[in-house]
Amino acid sequence: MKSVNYSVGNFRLFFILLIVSLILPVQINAKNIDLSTIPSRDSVQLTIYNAEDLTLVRETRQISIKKGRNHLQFSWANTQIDPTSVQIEFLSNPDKLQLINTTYPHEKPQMMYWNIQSSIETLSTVEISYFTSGISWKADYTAIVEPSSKQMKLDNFVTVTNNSGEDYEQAKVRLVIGKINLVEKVSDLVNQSYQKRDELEYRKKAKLEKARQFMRKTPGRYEMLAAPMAAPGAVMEDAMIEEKEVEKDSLSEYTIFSIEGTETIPNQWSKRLRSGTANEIGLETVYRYRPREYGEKLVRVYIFNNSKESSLGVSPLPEGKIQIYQKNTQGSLTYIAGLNLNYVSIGEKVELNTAANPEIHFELVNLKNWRDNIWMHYKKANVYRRIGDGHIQIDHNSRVAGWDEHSLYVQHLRNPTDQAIDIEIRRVIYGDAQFKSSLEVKKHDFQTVQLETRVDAGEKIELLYETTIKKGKNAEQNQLQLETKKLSYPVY
Amino acid sequence: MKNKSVYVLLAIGLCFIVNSSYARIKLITLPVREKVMIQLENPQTTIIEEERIVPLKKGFNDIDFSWHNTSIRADTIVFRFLDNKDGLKTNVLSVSYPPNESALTWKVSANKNGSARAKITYAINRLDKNYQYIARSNNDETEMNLSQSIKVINSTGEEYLDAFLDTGKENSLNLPLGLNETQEFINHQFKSIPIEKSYTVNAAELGYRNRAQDKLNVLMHYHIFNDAQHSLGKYPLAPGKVRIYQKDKNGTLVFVGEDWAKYTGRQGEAKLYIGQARDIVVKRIIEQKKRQRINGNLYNIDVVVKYEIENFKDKSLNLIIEESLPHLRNEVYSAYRSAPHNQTIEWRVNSKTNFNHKPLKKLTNSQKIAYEVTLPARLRDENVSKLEKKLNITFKNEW
Repeated sequence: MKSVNYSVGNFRLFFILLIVSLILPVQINAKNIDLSTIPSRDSVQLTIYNAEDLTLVRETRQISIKKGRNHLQFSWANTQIDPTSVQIEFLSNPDKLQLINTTYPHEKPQMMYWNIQSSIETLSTVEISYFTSGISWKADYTAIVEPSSKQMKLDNFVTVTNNSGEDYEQAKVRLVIGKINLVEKVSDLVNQSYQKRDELEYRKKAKLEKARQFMRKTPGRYEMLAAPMAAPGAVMEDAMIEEKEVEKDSLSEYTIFSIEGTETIPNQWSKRLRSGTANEIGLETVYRYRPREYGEKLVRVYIFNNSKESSLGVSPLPEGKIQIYQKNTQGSLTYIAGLNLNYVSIGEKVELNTAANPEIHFELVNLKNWRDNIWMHYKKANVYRRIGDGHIQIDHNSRVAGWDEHSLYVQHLRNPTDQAIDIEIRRVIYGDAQFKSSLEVKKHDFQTVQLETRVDAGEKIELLYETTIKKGKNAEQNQLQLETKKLSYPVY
Repeated sequence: MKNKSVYVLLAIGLCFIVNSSYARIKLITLPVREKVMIQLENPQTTIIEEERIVPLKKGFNDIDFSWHNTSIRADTIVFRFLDNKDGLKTNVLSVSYPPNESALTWKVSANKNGSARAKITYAINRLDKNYQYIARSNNDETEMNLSQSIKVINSTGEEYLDAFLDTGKENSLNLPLGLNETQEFINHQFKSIPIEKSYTVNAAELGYRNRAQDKLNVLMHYHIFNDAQHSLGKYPLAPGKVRIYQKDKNGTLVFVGEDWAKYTGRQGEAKLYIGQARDIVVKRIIEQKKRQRINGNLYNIDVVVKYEIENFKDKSLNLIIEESLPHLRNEVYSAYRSAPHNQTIEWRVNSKTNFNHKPLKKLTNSQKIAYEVTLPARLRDENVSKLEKKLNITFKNEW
C-alpha cells in the first residue's frame, strides 16, 4: 500500500497540485492505483501589494478531467498561503465543468479537495488563485545631483523579496501601489492554519494507525508528490539586451507596475529592477528654518516635481528609501543623505530634507527686550495716618494687569560657499503679536511669519526684526500683524 | 572566514541546481580594482568608490559582488558604467540578492565582447576618522603655525592598499590602508596665521577663583579666524583636539595646553581655551542695589557691580568683562524670592557705569553685556595700580 505523506519533512517550499481521479471503490480496493497526473504550472502571475503583506497569486495549469465526479487535491505545506482565499476557475469548458463543493479534511491542515462534476472527459485549463503572505516589494531610489545642484538624475528601482516558502518560476510580476483594506491579515490566517497543524501534530502519532485505516477505507484518494523547483540560474528568461520596461497603469485608487516579461524569484531571494529613470530633473535648492518640521536647524531642502516637465510624471513615486549623491567635478560621487521618500502623486512636489549644511552659519540672537504700555489694576486704596500730626498717606493697592513686550532680534546668516543660497525662515509667534521689520515678509498662517532672502556666495547678512506681544489684559486675541519698520542695533 | 572579503566576480556561465540547494558554480574572473577613492568629507558617512575594468561577453553577464565580514551598507551600493569607448554598450538589467549572504549579482548585458570601466560606490561603516591639530604660537602670541592631521582607522574588515583618501575640496592623498590599520597623515599646514589672545571674566559662566575674596577666574583663549585676512578661509576646519605649543625665548617649544575645537566653517571663528591667567586679579562685588517702586507691584531695580582689576604682568593687555544679566538679577533677587524668576528681563545701562567704551557689539545681547578694558603693564619697582570699573544696570518694570 502506498503510504501517504502530507507533511513532507524538508519540503522547503511546498506546493502540490494533484489531480486524482475518482475511482470506484471497487476498483480502488482491487488495485489501489489510478491514473494520476502532476500538472506543472503553465503560467503564474504575482500581484504584490506594498501596503500589506499580501500577494495575489494566479496560476494556470492543465489537468485531465474525467467524465463524472473528479477530486482535485490542493495542498500547500510550509508555505504562507491563506487557506480562505484559494479559488479555482475553469478557463476551458466552464459550462461543462462544475465545482460541487470544497472539503477541508479534519486531519490535514494546509490541504483541501475540490469535488468537480464534469460532463465530458477533457484536458482542462484551470486558474487557481490565492493570497499568500511573505512576498513583498519595495521601491528605492538613487538620486545623483549635478555639481551645480541645478539638475538631478533619478533612478527608481523596485525590489521583490520572496519569503513565501515557494519558488516562483517565470512569473509575471505586477506591483500594486496603494493602501487596501484588509479585515484580517493574511499572515494571521496562515498562522491559524499552522496552529491547527501544530495541534494536530501531537495527536498524530497516536492516531497514525487510525488514520491509515481511514485512508485504506477511503476510496480513490492517492497521490504522487513532486515539488516544483525553480531554476535559480534562470534569472533572465528572454534574450534581450535592453532593460525591461516597467509599464505603469492605474486602477481605481491604485497604481500598478507591470514588469515586462517574466521573472524567476526563488524563495528567500530578492531581485531589484529599475522601474524608471529620469536624467534631467530640474532641482531647486532652498535652505529652510522650520522648527516644527525640521527641528531647530537650518536644513538644505532639494525640491523637484513629479511632472513631465521634470522628465518624471509618468506614475506616482511609491514610498521608499532614497540615497542622494552629488557628482563632483571629477565625476566621483559624494554622499549627501539617505532619506525616506513618501508616496508622491503625479504632479506633486517632492521635498527632500538633506539635513543641515555645517558650512552655512545660521544664528538668531535676541538683542534686547523691553516693556511698555503697562496697565495697572487698582483694587482699593490703603489709607495710613500718623499719630500726632495726622499726616495721611494713601497707598494704592495695584498690580500690573497688562503690558506690551518688545523683543529685538538679529538673524545672522553667512554663506562661505561659492553659490548663492535661498533662505526661507518661519517663526511661530504666539499670542496677540506684531512683527515689525523692513524685510519682505508674509504670513504662513495666523501665527507664523515667513521671511525669504538670498545670501550670495561669500556674503554675510544680518536681518533685524522686532516682535511686540500684548500680554495680560492688553491681549485681545491670538493674531499676528505685520508692520514695516526700519530697525537698527540697540543702544544699551 | 576570509579576511579580504570584497569580491567582484564576473560570472560567465550558468548556474546549476544541485539537489534542491543553489550551487552557484561559475567560471569567474576577478577584475582588480583600478582605483579606490575613500571619501572622508562627509562627517557622518564614509564613501568608497572603486573603479574596475570588467570584461564582458556579448549577451548576458553576471557580476557578483560580495562583502562578507565587511561593513558595507548594502542599501547604498551604486554600480554604474562609465562612458565606454569602441561602441561597447552596456545595461545593468537587474540585481539579485541571494538569501543569507552579504552579496548581490548584477545582471548586465553587453552588445559585444569587450571591457567596460565601471564604478562601484558604497557607504561603509567602521572606517572612522578623527582630526587633530598641532598649534605652535610665537612668543608674543600673535601668530601661530597650525597643522591639521587626519587619523583614519580601518576596522571595516577590508583592506584598501592603493587607496586615495579624499578629504574634501578636491584634496586627496594616495595612502595604503591595510586591514585593521590606522593611518595618520598631515592634511593641511597653515603657516604664520594671525591670532588673537583674549582674557575673559564672567562670574556666571566662568566662575570664581576665590569666592570668599570675590576673585574671578580669568580665562585665556586663542581666537583663530578662518578667513582670508588671517591666511585661512580655504577649507572648513573639522572638529578635533588642538594641542598648543608655544616658543619660549630660546626658541624651545613648550606645551601650554589643549582644547577641543568645534567645527569652524569658512569665515567662522574658533575659540580655544588655553588655561587661566594667574597674574590678573579681578574682584567683583555688587556694590549697590536699590529697589524703586513705580506703582503698585511695579518696580525698577538699580544695581551697581564694581570690578577691581590688577594686572601683575609686565605687559599691557585687554580684558573682557562679561556680565550675565539673568545671573545678576538672580543675585539681587535671591534675598526674598524663593524661585528663579522667569520674567523676560528688561534692562538698561545706567549713569554710574564708567567703562571707557561702549559694550562690545559682538558679545552683547539681551542676556549678556560685555566690555573691553585695557590694563596697563606693571611697571618695574612700582606698585600695581588698581583699576576700578563700575557697571550700573537698571532692571526695569519688574513685578
